[in-house]
Amino acid sequence: MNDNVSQVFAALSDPTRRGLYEQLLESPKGYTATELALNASVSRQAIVKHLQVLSLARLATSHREGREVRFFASSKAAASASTWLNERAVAWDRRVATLERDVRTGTARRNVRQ
Amino acid sequence: MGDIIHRELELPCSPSEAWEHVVNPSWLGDDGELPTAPGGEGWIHDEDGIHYVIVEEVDEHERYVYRWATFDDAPSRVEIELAPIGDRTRISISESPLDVKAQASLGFQ
Repeated sequence: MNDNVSQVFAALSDPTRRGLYEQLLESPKGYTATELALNASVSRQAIVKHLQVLSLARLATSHREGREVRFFASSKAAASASTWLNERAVAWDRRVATLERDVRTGTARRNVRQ
Repeated sequence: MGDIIHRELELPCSPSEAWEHVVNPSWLGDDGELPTAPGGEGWIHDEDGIHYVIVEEVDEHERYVYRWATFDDAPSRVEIELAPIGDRTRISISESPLDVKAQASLGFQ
């Protein structure tokens, strides 16, 4: 996996951005920053910045529409983050099971460090 | 969104015995070295390849924190905490991507 996964997590770590991303996910027609600002508690300018962060993390794509830019959710980056998460989760399940077994059977191998 | 991965378990032993198991690399992978001094460099070999490890915090019998990364994976930080529960030990493990906060505040520039 790659840096994009960290970018996705970072982008979605902010509640406002997560909210905007969820709104984009629910709208096949996408949104402009002006439309999103209509029922938001932050300024249009702040929303533009949040949308830029979502775009950099490849969670959103955009198309120019006259004077406005329309943003759409892109679920590919989110899917790759979710794969990363699942792989890590499986690895930790395996490690935790090994730790429990080592303790139960008292068979901790000698630490190989010098 | 803090920890990305979180696991909790209880081991039927004291924190000092649990500590010996936690800092033994055998549960994290097939082979490896885990230093027990902050700044120490080690490695874990498992099915993902070699994870390079740098130990960040060591609080004997209580807390072990390291960051690690493979060649093709983003680095992450692992925090392992030990706490006595009667004659058992509760272990909490969390893993989160590194620099999430820094990247968010810098806007990835």
